[in-house]
Amino acid sequence: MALLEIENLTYFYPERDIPSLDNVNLHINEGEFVFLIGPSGCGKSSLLRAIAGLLPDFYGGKIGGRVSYCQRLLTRWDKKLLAKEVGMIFQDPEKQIVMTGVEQEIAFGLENVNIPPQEMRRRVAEVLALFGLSSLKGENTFNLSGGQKQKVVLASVLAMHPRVLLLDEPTSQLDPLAAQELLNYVQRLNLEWGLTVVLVEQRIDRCFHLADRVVFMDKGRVINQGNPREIVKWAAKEYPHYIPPVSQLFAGWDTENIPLTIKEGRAMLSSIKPGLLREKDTVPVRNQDEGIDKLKVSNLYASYNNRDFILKKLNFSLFKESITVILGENGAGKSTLLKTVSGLLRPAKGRVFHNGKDITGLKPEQIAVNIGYLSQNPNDYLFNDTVLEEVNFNLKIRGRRDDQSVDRILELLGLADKKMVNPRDLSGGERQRVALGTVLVTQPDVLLLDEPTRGLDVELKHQLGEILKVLRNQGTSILMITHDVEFAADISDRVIIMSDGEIVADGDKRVVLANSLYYAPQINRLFKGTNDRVLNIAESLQILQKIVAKPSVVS
Amino acid sequence: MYVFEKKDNFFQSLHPITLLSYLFVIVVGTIIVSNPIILAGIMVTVILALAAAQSLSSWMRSLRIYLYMIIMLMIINTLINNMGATVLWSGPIIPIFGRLTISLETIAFGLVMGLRLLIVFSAFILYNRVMDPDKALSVFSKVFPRSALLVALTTKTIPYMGQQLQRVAEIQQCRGVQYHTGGYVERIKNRLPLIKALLLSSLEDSFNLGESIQARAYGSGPRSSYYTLSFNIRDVLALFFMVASFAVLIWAMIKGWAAMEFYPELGSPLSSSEHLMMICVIVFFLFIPVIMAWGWKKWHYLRLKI
Repeated sequence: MALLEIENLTYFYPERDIPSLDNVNLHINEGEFVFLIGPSGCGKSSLLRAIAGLLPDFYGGKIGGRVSYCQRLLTRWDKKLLAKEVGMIFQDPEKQIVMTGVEQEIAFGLENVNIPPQEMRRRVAEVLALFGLSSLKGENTFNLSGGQKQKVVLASVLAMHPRVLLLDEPTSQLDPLAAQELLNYVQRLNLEWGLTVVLVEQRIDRCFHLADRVVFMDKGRVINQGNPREIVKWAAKEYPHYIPPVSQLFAGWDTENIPLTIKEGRAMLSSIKPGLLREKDTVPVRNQDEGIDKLKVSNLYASYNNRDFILKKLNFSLFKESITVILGENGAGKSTLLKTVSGLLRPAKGRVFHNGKDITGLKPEQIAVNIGYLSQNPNDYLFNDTVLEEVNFNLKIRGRRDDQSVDRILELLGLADKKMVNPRDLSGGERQRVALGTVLVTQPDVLLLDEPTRGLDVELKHQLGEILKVLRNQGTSILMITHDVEFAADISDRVIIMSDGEIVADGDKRVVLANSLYYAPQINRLFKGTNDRVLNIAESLQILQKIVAKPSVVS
Repeated sequence: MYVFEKKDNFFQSLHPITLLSYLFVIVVGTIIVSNPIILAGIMVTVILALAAAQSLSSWMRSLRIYLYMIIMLMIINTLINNMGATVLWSGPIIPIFGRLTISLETIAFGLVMGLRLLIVFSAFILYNRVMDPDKALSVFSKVFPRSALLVALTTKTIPYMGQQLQRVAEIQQCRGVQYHTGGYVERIKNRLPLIKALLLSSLEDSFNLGESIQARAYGSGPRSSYYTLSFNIRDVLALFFMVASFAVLIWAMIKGWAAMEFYPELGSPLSSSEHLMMICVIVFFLFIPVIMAWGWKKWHYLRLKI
């Protein structure tokens, strides 16, 4: 008998005509690791909430069908007992933490289900040790990093000793290292404790091989499910973006056994042609110092407290009609650099030039006309009643009016039909584009983007990439921070790597990314040793075709 | 932005009820007393308590903002209050307020009022630095479950909102909003979008928080408490002297020794040696927790015993 049984589940959010879950049938067995994927708005999160008993209790709306846990309908479960059995973790750790102290936050759930103090002490101590949080137990949760916060949230749920763990994009707000750490814990909990895991996650290449079963959803329905290899084979045709890059590449090749990881992929390459991974072949690289300077930073130092320098002696140029990506771990000074260029932080030393003109010391609103800055959180932008007013605001406040260009920008961003909608009623990806629109209306020729891909799914990321390419081709130079190496490899021209306030690598993306241990995209790691410069699937397909064209290989 | 920090000091080791009573005696005492000698004693006690709580420097930093406010109030009171008999300066007649005068009595009253305000502000700072919001929640949620959660959430949210406000302000600046130029009305008007964006985001966040709280079974029935907060000898001692000092204070009030005459002419803050004795007793009793805090720090044996 399955642990969780979902039968004919249909759910409408209040005041919605289209169901968020449409006749969903799913059985989940004890100890299974289920990976739930699908395009934005496909009903993944709603399904998790239904399993956690939050639908319709917390949201209202109409529900049909049955969800049972341990052969008993969720509606028949005592809320207290259910919360002990089924734990749920949401996207943003900051929006889940209730208490001030770490220890107390972990105990919060235990207090709610009335666990005696002695037992509570033991459980808190245990999860603190399990997640390596013991040294932080007296800290204020505000002072923790995003990754630490999410670990505290995971610990607080785990302390309740649940049998099922539901995770709704738990790493979307974390940097790659913290995200990987969290996913490692989830995998361990599944492997070593036999915890049943249902995971919704955008980092597909990091999760696919962990799962026992992948469930693919679209438009509120479960449209396919099976083990990762079956799903890879099926999705390669219809939903190629939703499988790992390695699998995308091999999908057209060996349909019986598509690799899921780099290790499997390299093994397959070797089996196609023994010794292939030692043969050298290179893609030509463009001359890296060609171009007209749009933005030039020279000898830049910055500090928040006049003591510790966050940026140290930075020198670089952003070329005309190019996309430059800044990579680097958290605290490397990436955001500080964008803030300094946009005038929000005065440099301690050094100069910033735009089109050869010194703009150091100008006010942010003066700089913003030519150099648009988009911060991480689109919600910080939205306060007007309609998308149109929101985008128009930057012009209005400068006493300008240009309906044509506003319309053109809304068209470019795919928001033309959302013009009169309240921006707060839009989805995350659409909000991001509205925020971008507010920056674009003054027609800046330089764009500074701080982690624009954060929290976006593959499809939305792809759309954003296309928009950025259009902008570049129209003459805008883009300087963008991202943690997403695959995205960087796809759209950038140049890549800068920052570490501890300094630039440690700056050059053509092929040179910088391909030589990197940590920042190399999946496809590049696949071909390491044979072709160090290949970055994307199209290029690697060409290489594979070359290999297969040789008759000796096909045998 | 202020964030509560756990520190190893006597005041943070006290039971929340003891702490709250201590601050209650200080604040209520300050409100009912107008005798400057008692007030000065209370002020010194609060400053030393702040020092014992390792928070003197943060108190000094916030002092500047409060001092502006207090001085403003003192000046206004001195100018528009005409009740003093010993007039030092007489100015023009202003409609509604009457003649502007400065008298010895209004200056004295202004000083005492300023001191009282300063004590109350300082006591609140002390409260913030020594009261662990989580411990407070665990004690008070037994009596007022909903309000206690609300207070805990508010305390937790304030630094986050501070951070968010800073971010939104930066973005508004990039969008072309000018905070530092234009008239007073315009500046306030320019800040409206800021508040609006902050409010809308907070509403959305609170929804997520509510969901997480529900998923962790808050409000599903009786709760247990993680902190097994017990009354220690230090709490009993501190509480005893607080009750004692409050009792003496009430007695002093009945005898008329806690108040001072300001109008029309200044009275004497000290009427007899008995009066002085009583003031000393009140201040000494209030002072005892500070002495205990000092002993806690210096004398490990005492720390083990209380």
